[in-house]
Amino acid sequence: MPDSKRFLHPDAIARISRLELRARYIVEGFLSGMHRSPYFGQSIEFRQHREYVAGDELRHVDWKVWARQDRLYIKQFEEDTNMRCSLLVDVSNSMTYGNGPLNKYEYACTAAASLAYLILRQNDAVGCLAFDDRVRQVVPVRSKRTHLQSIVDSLSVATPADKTNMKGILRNTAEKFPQRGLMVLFSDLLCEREDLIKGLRLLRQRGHDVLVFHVMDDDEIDFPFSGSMRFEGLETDAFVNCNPRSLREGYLEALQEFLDDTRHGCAKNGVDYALVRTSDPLDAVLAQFLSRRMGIQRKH
Amino acid sequence: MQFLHQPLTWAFFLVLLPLLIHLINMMRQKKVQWAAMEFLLKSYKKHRRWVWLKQLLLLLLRMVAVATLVAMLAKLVTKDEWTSFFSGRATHHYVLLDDSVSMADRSGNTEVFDVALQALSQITARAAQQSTPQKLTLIRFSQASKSVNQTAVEAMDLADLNAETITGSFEELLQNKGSSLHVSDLAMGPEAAVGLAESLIADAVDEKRILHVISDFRQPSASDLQQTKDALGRLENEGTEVRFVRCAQQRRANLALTELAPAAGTQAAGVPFFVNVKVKNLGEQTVPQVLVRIKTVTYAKGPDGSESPPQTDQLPDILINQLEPNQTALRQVQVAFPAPGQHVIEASLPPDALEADNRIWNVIDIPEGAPVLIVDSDLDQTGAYYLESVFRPGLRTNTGIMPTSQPVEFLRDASADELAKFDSIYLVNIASLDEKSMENLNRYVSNGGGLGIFLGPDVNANAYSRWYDDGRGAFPLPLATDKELPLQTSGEPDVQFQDHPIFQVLLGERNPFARTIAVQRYFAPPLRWQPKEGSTVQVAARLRNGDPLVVEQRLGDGRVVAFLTTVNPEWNNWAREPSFVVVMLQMQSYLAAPLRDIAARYAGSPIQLQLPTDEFAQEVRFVPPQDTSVGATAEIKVQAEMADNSPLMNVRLGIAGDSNQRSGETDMRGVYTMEAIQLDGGEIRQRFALNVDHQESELALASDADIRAALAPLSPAILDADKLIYEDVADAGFSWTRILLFALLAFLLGEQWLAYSASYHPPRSVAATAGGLR
Repeated sequence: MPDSKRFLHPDAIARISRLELRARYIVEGFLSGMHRSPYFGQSIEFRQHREYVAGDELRHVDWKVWARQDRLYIKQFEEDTNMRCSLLVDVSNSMTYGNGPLNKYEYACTAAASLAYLILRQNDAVGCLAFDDRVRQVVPVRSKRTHLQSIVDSLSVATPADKTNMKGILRNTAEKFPQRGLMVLFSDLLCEREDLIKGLRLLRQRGHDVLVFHVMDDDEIDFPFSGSMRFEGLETDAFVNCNPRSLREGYLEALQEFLDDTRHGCAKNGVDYALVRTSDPLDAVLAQFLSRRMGIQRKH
Repeated sequence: MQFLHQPLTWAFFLVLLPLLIHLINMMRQKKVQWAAMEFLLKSYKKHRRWVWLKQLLLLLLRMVAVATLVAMLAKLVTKDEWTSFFSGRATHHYVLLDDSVSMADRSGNTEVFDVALQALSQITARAAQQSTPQKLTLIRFSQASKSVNQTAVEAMDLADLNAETITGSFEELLQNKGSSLHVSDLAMGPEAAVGLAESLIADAVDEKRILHVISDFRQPSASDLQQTKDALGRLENEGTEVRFVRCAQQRRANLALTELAPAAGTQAAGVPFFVNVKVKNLGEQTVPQVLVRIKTVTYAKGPDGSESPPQTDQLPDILINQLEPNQTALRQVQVAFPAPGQHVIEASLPPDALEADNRIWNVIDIPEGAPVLIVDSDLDQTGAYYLESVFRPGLRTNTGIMPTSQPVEFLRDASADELAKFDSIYLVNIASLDEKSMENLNRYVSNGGGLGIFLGPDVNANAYSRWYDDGRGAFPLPLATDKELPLQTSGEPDVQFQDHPIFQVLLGERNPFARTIAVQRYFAPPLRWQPKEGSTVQVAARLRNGDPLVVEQRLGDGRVVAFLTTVNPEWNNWAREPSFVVVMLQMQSYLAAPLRDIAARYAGSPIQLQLPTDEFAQEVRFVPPQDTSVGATAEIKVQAEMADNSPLMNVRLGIAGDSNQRSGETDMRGVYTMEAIQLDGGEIRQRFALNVDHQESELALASDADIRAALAPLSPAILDADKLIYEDVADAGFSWTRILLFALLAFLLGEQWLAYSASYHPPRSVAATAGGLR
């Protein structure tokens, strides 16, 4: 792992308490490790020089040209302001589970904030929506740099509660964000499978590009428990007293079936899907996002 | 079904332990707030029954494993419960207990006999645990040896415990019967005890029989067992289970005093004589510096005839530098008793494994002197003179021999008792003997008397040949005629001594005494005469021409020595030679020896004697040994048995009534004193030494193979007492220990498999558990 990436690991991120700082830390760290990346040119492209006129920002003056010709020219860039990105963050009770440095909720929020920062840094517009069984917080899509604070605030204010109502939420989102854009969903997807697929299909039908980050804890994927245990549902009243090792195989089978169904449903509806462990470094999310964005631009 | 270790059965409550642990685990289960309940519930619903079943099986298996372990440790044994339930058949334990001398083999404070008693206690204790009736019959070897006819009645009488129902411990049973058990001083094998058991078993019906023979099984007893083979075979054929319980585990070093007896020589008051002491090393190691202590107890009579208090004298110790294994050392100690009477000599060894054979006693009857009869036909008694001058050399020298001369008619007229008073009779140059005299002398010799015969010019060869009577008479050879010994030409001595006790001192190379003896005339046997094969006749000395000069014959208990020449220096010069005195004294000792040859008495053998009815009261007292390990015992009063038309009454100690059954009164080793009251108010005392039979001193153990070889084709179970005492042999029935052990292993393996199957095993590593989905 490069030195810059080392600091993107959830262990390191967890030490930063403010979400905004986390986002900046992650993105700067990410970008510093990727300054030769072709993604950089994708966001801000040089278009032409023009002569300096009063009122232009001095930071856009091309000092090299001034040194050669003794005349002030301004570098003009073609800003990509076409992308409108909406971050949908699941803040239901099930997102509070986590056995690592960050629980699913914290991980999703951190990833969403980092994405928002990255998007705003690229002069794209980004909005945010926190939900459980209903929409808890909405931040409209904007491209102002200061908009990051609004997004971070909305995520911080949202407190995990209740069950996930995916179908209703996604319908609501489609209505709240009528302009086509990129919908990035951060959720553990622990909801009705049909509702999820229907909701995602609805977003696609409205012309949105949809990227799903399926956030899961290591425990949920590996189920490493042993000994006599009592599992109590975070979103239900159900409980199970068992020796977890005796149920592990069945659990993993059921989980695999769910993941397969979800992957299949997403693929069928043209939704990009990525399973993310809370132990994964956060740059993976950013890399996934940029990869997705490049794919969108290529399509366009 | 039963458990040999009853207290351990409480541990069966431990079967609840797995259940308890399971419940505690359920109470202590870790709570987790879980998001992905959907998948967990799905798995739970799918596997719930199977998981429950596995858990239940696992719990049951653990409980069964604990129960099996407890049953194994508590020694589960079963027997044919159904048979016993319906028939209620009793088990009868016939225990034959060896209490012979070798059972006193001691190591530290424990005797082999103590081990035997512990084994007996264990047998009783186990029998007491049985659900069916259990009976115990105990017969000691010493008790069984009292049996004469080996009948069931005798057996019931002699058994220490006879078909006693076992309700408690063996010690309680003994206490109830008022019996106590200790090692006897007797030497005996199991044959009598087996015989008694057989007679009891023959009368028993409807019982399961187990015959326990508890013994040390030394090597000599292996041959004793051979005598019981037939009886044991019959018992086994009749369904009796035979078990040998071996109590001795190792052979220990042991020294034994095997003999303490006067050596050849005249015993008389004031005359020193030698006593032979034999010590045998019965161990496997050489024993250095063996010290034998000797003491004498002199019982002198006072002027009034009553016995003075005994005087004990400690003689110088005998030191044997080294005694190799199995070696017997013979040492002689010189003893002299100043007064006539019955005196006691005792030898003792330092303590070792077997105490009983470290002391030995002998009673030595010292007469005033040894009466000897000399019959010389010469009027001038020349021959008698030479003999008397040897036997009674002078006032200063006392040989203890008291010679008496009588005419030849005395031999004809004397009664047997009168002749029996003489230790030996010497005939000197008697021409011939009449039939009566020959008959008297034949009887005298047959009864143990010694007869010395010297020939001479008056002797009628034919008369002596008649006396010879083809070997039936006392004279040892036929005579032909008197002959002149040809003159010496080769320098060879006239007399050539053979290997015979009389001439033992003159044997050896370059013996100057033999060369000076010159014989001129002698009586020769018929030509080519040789002692008959199988006869007791032997030539003790020959002339240089090969003719016999001294011939010895044993007749009955006595001995006859015939010199075929004169005793006086008429036909030879021997009487003038110094060797004559030595040879005559040796000859006297040799002739009188049978009278002193009293067979060794062993503890348990009866003491029998006869007393004149008109001189003694009928009641006779015996004082048993007072210094044995058993402790002082009271005197025994015995009524002498009067016989019809006999002037003598029989005194018997150690025999019960007319049955010839051993009474056990002489079972202790040591010196018994008989006190008989004379009708005139006086009292005489007679002593008898009873020692331990040194066959019991052999402590070498018979191996299992030896025992089996002795009993082949029988093959009884041979158990070590230690095993019986400490290791719990499952004699109460079928032992489940081994089966339970295998079952436990199977249960534990099953439990592990089930636990693994039910995922109760801890994960192998973190990496393995992290291998989830992606």
